[in-house]
Amino acid sequence: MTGSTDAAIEVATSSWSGRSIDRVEDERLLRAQGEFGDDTPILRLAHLHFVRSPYGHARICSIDVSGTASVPGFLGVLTPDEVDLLTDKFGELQQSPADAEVDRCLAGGGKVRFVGEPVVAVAATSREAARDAADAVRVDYEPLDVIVDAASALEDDAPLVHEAVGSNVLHHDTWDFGDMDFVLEHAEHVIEVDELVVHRHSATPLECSVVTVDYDVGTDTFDVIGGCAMPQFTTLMMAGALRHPAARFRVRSKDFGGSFGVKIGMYVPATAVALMARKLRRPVRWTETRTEHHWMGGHSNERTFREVKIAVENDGTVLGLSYRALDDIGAYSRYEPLGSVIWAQVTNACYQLKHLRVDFTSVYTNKGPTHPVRGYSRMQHIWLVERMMDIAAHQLGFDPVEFRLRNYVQPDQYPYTTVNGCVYDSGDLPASLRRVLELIDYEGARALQAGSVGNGTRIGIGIGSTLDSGTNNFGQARLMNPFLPFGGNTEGGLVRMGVDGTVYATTGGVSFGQGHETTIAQVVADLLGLRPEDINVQRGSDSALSAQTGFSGSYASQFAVTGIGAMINATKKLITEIQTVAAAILGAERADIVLHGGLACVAGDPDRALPFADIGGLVHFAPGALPDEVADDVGLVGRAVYRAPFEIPDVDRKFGNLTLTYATQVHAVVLAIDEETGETEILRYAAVDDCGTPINPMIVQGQVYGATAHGLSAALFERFDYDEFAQLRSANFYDYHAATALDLPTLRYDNVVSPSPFTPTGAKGMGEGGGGPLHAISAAIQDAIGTRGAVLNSHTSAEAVFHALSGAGHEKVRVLR
Amino acid sequence: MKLEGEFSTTTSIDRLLAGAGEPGVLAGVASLSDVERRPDGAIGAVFHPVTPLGRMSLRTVITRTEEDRTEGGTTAVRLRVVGRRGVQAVDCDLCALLSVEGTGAVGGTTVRWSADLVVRGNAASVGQRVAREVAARAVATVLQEVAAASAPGPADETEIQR
Repeated sequence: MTGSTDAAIEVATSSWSGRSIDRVEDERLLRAQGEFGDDTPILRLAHLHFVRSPYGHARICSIDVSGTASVPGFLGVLTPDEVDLLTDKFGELQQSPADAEVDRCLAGGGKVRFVGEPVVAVAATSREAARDAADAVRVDYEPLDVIVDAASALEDDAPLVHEAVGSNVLHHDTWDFGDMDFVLEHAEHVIEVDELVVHRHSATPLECSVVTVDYDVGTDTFDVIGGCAMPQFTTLMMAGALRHPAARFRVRSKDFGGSFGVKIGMYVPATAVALMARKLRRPVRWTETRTEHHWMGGHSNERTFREVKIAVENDGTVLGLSYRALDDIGAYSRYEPLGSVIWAQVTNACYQLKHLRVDFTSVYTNKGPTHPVRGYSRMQHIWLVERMMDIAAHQLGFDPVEFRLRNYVQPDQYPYTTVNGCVYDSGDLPASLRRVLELIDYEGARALQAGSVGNGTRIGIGIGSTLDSGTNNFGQARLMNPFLPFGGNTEGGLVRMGVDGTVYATTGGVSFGQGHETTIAQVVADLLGLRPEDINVQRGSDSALSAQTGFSGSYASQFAVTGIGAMINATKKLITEIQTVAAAILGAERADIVLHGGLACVAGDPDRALPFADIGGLVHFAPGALPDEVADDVGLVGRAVYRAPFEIPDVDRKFGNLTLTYATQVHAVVLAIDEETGETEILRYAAVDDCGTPINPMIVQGQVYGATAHGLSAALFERFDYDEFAQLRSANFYDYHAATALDLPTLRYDNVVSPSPFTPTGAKGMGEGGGGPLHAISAAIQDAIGTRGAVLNSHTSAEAVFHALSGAGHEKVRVLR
Repeated sequence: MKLEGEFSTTTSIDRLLAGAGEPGVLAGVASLSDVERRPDGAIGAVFHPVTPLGRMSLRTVITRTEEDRTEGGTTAVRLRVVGRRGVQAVDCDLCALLSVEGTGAVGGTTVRWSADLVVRGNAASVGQRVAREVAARAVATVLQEVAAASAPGPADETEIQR
């Protein structure tokens, strides 16, 4: 499936893989000995600060930088005019006319388009001096009317975010599978909901972006240091913008405090930093503040669903779903409009839907740009489906548990093909649901609910089923722009043996906290017959180390498949070379050489063995002692890729497999609502995940906890709130509450194991989580409210809950028959 | 946000109107500094309103956009005020109605003012809970200070008496 089929090498998962060994990374991280973007000491480092727009939409009338030169420590300034001269606009993914969008590292086209957009960059000898120099810059603006509402952006007289585009529409397309017209006409029940909204929030990484760029004038090379989630993509974007050969970029990072997708977009500020570094002929660093991150660091997709209809039979079978989607992507497209197709990886969500119709529009507004935040575009669709399942169950009098069990994809249906040709690899949703209900004591929770009637507290029980689709087929980009050249997916890996037999492993992936160093060590150790501590895994990422492919990076819940797959293939190559040397020295056949405990032995004859140290020494220092054919072929370096088995999707039918694996999570929550205030208290919370065969169960559990905490925080607290002037009112942690341990309940966890038949180890990617908590919390509040009101927004603050208790939303839900 | 207020001053309407547009007079206002006449005719100054964190400095441009005297003796003045400090910005459309009604003093003025004010940038987030109170106090204070600075000095009063 993945490449090598050498019968002498089997993937071993019985020793270190599958065990919850301690994370290699934690020793240094817990001792504050990690090296994050702002930690790296660099000689002659300059600091860059951006002058940012206070306006959501304004023309730039004048820029006066004359006051900067007198600020102590000032080194240099970069203006939009310089950027226009020195760079091309960033490449766009969308088709005409929206590809006329002009996106540069400083506000382009003579205007600003969102609050916080960088206008001028100033460098100085210290961060404080750079801020002082930035304060000395005078920018005069002519305010323009703003667009803060996606629906308003479509009106004929709406102000245009990008005049060159001619409208505020980035992309529009329709998806139609099955026969929704027939279903809506003939189904025994049809329920309609006017509008549901998934709110905008942050990926909230612990570490904001830090980018340091050093320009080496001798080699005309940019050395970019900082958290970069997709290094080769970043290189291409920066190279194109800077009109600089991609070969003369090096992109690297060490430790990295979270990304969850947003640091795919770091090429934008990095380009400004690179320009300044080249201008000043010294290294320059930009360290993002939390406020800057909230303004520009990347928002989650804000999506409005309208005219939503679900068709259900008398026995509770859900036939199909139709809706219009309106995606507010902010002022610049960046990674969009990929979101307009990525949702289609999970068209069916967790259910046996046969009919689906979606009208999808992406629009520009004067808000911060969206980036592919955790669960990117799929979480929104799954939330909608879960809401509609719940609303349908409540309206038609079905038990929400039985309703889900009836409609889930069943275990014997895998691999399951969805309405648009995606293939769900494996799973057992019924088992996951039953287990999670045990964890929250579902029967006891229902009794608690019944006993609370009339005492001022409402108990709600909610289920959130979700998918975490992983390993993208980038051919899906052609579904929104057939002229894009992308197809499939690969990741790279490199494993080598050093002069003394030490094993080194380097991945093209980029760890931002998921424990890649540990899982790599486990898998490579298994193959080589070593211990994990014997494997020296490269910390961080470095494009100069020959392990990366075009799609290398950390995103889309894929490392357990692509990254590990590449390491396995690379290790197999190294094993072949080790066996070749050992066979030559020991006078045996290569197929008879087994590796164990740092020795290459003849199977069945343990006295005939060669230590790895000797193998390394022979190849590196005594190749003359080896047979010519061995010395010519063996370098003790295994460099390989893992290629996910994809084809290009059918662009006309919008049909084909878009993702390789589908981890599942089922969440359940019991919560209490104060009827007088709408305040919500979580009484019990549980999550059951199924990510196939886990390589390190403890790491998997940790990722589920992290995704759960993030989802609960998004549901209850985190929201980017823009006022009518396009001002972000939650621009930092003073006004934007990210949940702490004090806010969160004790999480109960278990897992189900449904190995993927499509991956090298049976593991599936799983880090994003799929937004299970948002689905579960919405469902629980709906359960508490019944049909009195409707939960139609994914942000369930106390105020929203109070209004729903009072009947809000009820008028937007109709049982047509 | 919409703000409004009212105060009375012994300064006459004419002196008030003259003083409010004269850099030399405005230089005597406690919460203004670096007052200058700009090439476009507007007044430039650094405004130092009091906030919960102490005084801050806003580089400000004040443009008189309209002045309208009625037969009844009321004068309406509209000012456009734009203030900046780093990534913070304040845009204010101020309307002041100057009349002699209710002053109870010869030559005095009642000032009724209203302002439509927008706070932008980081202040729109961090300052959202205190912006109304801070802005209302700042506007009331600076208008009263302008009125006081525009009042005639002892020499002027002697001239008036003559």
